[in-house]
Amino acid sequence: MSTRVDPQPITEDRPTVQIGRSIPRLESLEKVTGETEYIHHLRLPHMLYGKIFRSSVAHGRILKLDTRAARELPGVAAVITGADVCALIPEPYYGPAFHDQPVLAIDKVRYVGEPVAVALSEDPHLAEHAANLIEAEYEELPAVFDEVEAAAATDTFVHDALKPAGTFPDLKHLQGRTKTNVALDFSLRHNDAERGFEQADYIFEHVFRTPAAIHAAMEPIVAVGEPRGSSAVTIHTSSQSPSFVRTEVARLLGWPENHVRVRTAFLGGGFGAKLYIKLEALVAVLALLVKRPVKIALTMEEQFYTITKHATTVRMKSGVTKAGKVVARRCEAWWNGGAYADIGPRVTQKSGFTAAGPYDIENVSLDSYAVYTNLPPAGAFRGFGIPQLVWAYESHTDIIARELELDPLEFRRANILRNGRPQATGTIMRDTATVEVLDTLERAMDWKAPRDPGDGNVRRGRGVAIGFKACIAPTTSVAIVNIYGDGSCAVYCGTVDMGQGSDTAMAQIAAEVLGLDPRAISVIHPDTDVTPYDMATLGSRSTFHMGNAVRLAALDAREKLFIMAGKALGCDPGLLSAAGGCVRAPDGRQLSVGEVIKSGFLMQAGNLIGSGSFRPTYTSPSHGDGQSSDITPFWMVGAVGADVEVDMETGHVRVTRLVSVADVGTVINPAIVTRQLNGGAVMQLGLTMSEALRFDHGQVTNASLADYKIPGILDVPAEIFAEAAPGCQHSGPFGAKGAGETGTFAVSPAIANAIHDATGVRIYDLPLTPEVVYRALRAAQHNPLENEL
Amino acid sequence: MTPFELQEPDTLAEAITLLDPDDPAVRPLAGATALMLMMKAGLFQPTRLVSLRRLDDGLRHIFIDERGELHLGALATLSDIERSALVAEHAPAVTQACHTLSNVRVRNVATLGGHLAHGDPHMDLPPLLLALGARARAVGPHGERWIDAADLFVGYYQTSLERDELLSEIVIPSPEPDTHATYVKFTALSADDWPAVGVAAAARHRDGVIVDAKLAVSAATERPTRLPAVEAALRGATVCADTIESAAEAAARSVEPLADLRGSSAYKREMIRVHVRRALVTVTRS
Amino acid sequence: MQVTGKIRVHAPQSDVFAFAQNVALLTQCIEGCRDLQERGDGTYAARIEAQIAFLRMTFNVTVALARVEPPHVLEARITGSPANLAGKVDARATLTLEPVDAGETDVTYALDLSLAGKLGGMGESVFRAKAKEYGDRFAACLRDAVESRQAEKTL
Ligand SMILES: Cc1cc2nc3c(=O)[nH]c(=O)nc-3n(C[C@H](O)[C@H](O)[C@H](O)COP(=O)(O)OP(=O)(O)OC[C@H]3O[C@@H](n4cnc5c(N)ncnc54)[C@H](O)[C@@H]3O)c2cc1C
Repeated sequence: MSTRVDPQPITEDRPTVQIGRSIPRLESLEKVTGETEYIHHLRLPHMLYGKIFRSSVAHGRILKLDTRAARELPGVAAVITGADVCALIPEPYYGPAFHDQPVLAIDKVRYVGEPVAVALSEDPHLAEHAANLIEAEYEELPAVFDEVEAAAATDTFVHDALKPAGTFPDLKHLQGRTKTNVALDFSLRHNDAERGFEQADYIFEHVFRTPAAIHAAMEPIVAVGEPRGSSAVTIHTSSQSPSFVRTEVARLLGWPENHVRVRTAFLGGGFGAKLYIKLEALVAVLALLVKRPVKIALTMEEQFYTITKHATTVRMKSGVTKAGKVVARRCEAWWNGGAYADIGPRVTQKSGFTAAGPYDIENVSLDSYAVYTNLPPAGAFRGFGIPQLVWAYESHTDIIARELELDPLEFRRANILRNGRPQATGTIMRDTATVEVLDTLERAMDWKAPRDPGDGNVRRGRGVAIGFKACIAPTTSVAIVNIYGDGSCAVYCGTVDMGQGSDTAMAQIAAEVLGLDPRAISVIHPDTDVTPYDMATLGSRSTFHMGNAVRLAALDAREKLFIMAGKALGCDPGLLSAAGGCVRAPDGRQLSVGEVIKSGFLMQAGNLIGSGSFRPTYTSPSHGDGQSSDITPFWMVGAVGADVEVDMETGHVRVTRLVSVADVGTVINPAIVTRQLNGGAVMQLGLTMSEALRFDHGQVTNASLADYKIPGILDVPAEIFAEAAPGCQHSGPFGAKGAGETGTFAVSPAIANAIHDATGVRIYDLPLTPEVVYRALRAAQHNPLENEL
Repeated sequence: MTPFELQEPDTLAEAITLLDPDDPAVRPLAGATALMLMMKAGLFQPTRLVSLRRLDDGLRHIFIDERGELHLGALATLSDIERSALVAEHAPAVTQACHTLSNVRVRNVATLGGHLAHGDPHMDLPPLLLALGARARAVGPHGERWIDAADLFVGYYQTSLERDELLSEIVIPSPEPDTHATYVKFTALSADDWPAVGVAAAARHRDGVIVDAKLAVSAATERPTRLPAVEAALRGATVCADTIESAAEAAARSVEPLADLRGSSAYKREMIRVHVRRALVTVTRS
Repeated sequence: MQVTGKIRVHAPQSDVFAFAQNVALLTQCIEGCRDLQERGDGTYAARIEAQIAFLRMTFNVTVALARVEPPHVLEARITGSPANLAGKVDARATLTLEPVDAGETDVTYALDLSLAGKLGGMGESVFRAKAKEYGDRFAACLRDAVESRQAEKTL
């Protein structure tokens, strides 16, 4: 078995067969017939169900925990508290960036909904009843909720001291820091923003906000812990990051990684909610404590207390010349991370350095703060913080264009960051289709065509916005391609298919290399005892990273296949080719893959195993100025155009057309890419128009889909359209890069910009509910609607 | 959810005996769409639920009697009503309201009886039934009685039904010729959301003069509410923008909207004004 | 959630204040408040049975006077948890008494109610709709009780 680390571009010199084909998703049939495996359905013999008793205060010291009534309820197997957890793991704190989150609350609770104890029973309803009988007494402590206030707080702190995980060199300096709610402050200085402002003719400054939101995956978070003796455990989980789960649970237990097995099935959506540790540490500990399998399946309501999208406050300041050139930009972003850091500090940095937008700006100053508050933890959410930043910089950019009476699209094009130019980190932009995306959008929108502005009660408007994202780095993917005795083939990879179609894309990549039919390739789902390491399925990294690893693994397997076939055919392996399920010699003779294997192993037996390992290069940003020569393996660009109709009497906004254009490099499966772009756009449409967590003293008050409204089919614009702009990521598999998040980037500001175009009213805070728009309209008429409690 | 007893009687009479006039924790159950939400929220912890799904007589009828009155069985699903040609002909506004009432999954199981007996002011059909002058048949241990739709809704989650009474059907009287009715649903979040404001209107006009008008608002108020004073002012008025505008203004002033996640009180008042106007414009069009 | 209301009581400010400051009397005006027991430390234990149509919820609560500023302001704090349901209720009720004349007082109440747990996450709209009604009934009951004592005094 050979492994290559090969970040260099690999160019194919023949036309591709499987790439660019819209083959149907491999799992479509089993999904529509209800045969798909989900962890949610898993039941093991002797399994107990756990129900979580949660904190009812936002910040408090636990004075007393009375579990007696729950324990004494007939049918209850056990009630487990933080103290029990500590008996097994003395320091039961986990997290990808900070080791700050306890498996169950210890001494203190830090948000309403934090897990405090678990009741276990064979009957889930009894477990729930028992959890309701648990009583806790708290000494309430002052709480902080707003990210800007929390960052400036001088006497109320969510944590006594910062506990960075140690895995990230750029967090080391934070170790042990006290008296702060700022988990991470990232700053970037590119030339001199202050001097830039002095050179500018106009200065613009605005503040934009976005609320907390939830992922609302249809399959709520679920995990099953299964003890194997007292020194090994299997975790079945709806996780997007099985490799991370194994590493982290092994660390907590002080075990080698090979004592922890983590497996997943299909996920009913993830969107970032199912990353890192969610229920996995808890079910592992419970299973080891009670020596029985334990399942915890969250309800939809409980998801609201588990992981959210960061609420943000972003201050943008730009200096612009009379000629319409942005010469300086300063951004400050506060990320409301909730009570536990989760991956928030990464969002703060990895997205933070793009906060000036995809523009060629001489002088940039960025400050990005991950802030602890007494709210449910915030983490990764499709887009990884980019939609919040694009909301700010593309609203801001639009205001500038309109105030300077410049065409918003032209203004963007005039300032756009082009290949060969340095981004704010100093990294030179390459293989990034910023200009092509704008051009494609202009054409798809028919931007210059005359429009009907409407009149009276209905006003129409059109807006555009563009955003970009750097793929997270440095991360590793490893894949195995295994050709069996009969010539059939499986890909072993840790990429989690949660509906995005990764199984199909990976099969297409392997099939392309091996000359097989992708529909005949099986993709083995993540199981850390079986599939090799993968950092996680997140941040649109899989097609690029795992796609490269699968391609390398397939090339490795093909090389072995050709050596074997070369012997059978008496031909130089270097002259062979693979197509149509066969290996072909230049003279036209061919053997099926199965026949090749039979020739090598003398019967239907053996395996041909290829492996591939992929990790791109990376230079971490230097502390203080955030500069790096190699900040990311690739950039993603997404632009959106929106047409809206505003009901001037109600403030109700109807999006009548939504056009998404993205740079996804080479398109591997056009149908899947289109659905990813449109799906992302509709998801972000909900976050734009209606979705927001509402809080009262730290309690979420709309913790159900009856009151937290995601878009339904009737909210989808009558015209919705997605297109990939021409582009090629030369370091990607067959030129491809990620597409899972790009559709979300620019939706919110495109709609707000269209509302402004229609009505002249600018809105700075999401979501754009009818009342928000109505109040803005009334305020613009100098007749504001009264406020009330 | 805590365990409870589930009964599935065959007859209406049996169902009534299984109900308990004194125990609020015993409830009838039809499509369960509303009750289950409350049970999951822990707001309602029943001791016994009496399911009406197996009743022999079905109570799922939809017919027009010899007097031209439309009868809708309490166990007719909202989809039954939405798809009924009789309803479309006799009360097209009801058909129209059903299209945007929740979503098809809910409509396929939710029943008219549950929709009304729940007493939730956010339901879409109650204001319309008020405007159409409908009445409800209630059956209890001592026989049956008729309740005017306007008297059915007493407060938030409160109806004038006794705890051991069941709705068996709703009757919508034959409309006077030339009556036009409409329901305007305004949602503040997603399109299939509950209404933030619901307005129903029915009117008859002849030679440019309003002969009769009925108006009801819901969702913003703690129960669906008829607006008799506004109706009275409309009667005999000429059909014109001023008439409608002042009726809308009066309607907005006559209620005290409840603030919630879907809008502040002040905003909902504005929305009542706008949607009463729009409803009246629709029903007074020639 | 916050609700406010105002009611005029035909009694002098000092009499209204004296009544309101007496927790045993005051809590009689809270609908469904039962089994009041003095704990000795200035706090009282009680049970509140709230009934909203067919929904019945029992809360085990502690009642305390948090602020007593005769003869103007009185603040009561009610904290506790729903029976058989994990969660918390926390209510601050502030009464502000303003004399209209020697025999009349305007009572403004402000109720700041927060619920945590299931009732807060999924039942907020129900409580919000009912809070105003509860508040108004509380104020009316307070008025009636004070006025009937007033009537007794004058007899
Ligand atoms: C996701 C969702 C969205 C919704 N959106 C909307 C919306 O936009 N607009 C809207 O109008 N509605 C909406 N609804 C509410 C829906 O209309 C009601 O849930 C439904 O009509 C209730 O009918 P049911 O048969 O399921 O009632 P159940 O849940 O079975 O019962 C409701 C109540 O009525 C009582 N009851 C039932 N039948 C009878 C009877 N025959 N006699 C006496 N009492 C009875 C029950 O005891 C209970 O108190 C929505 C519901 C859901 C779940």
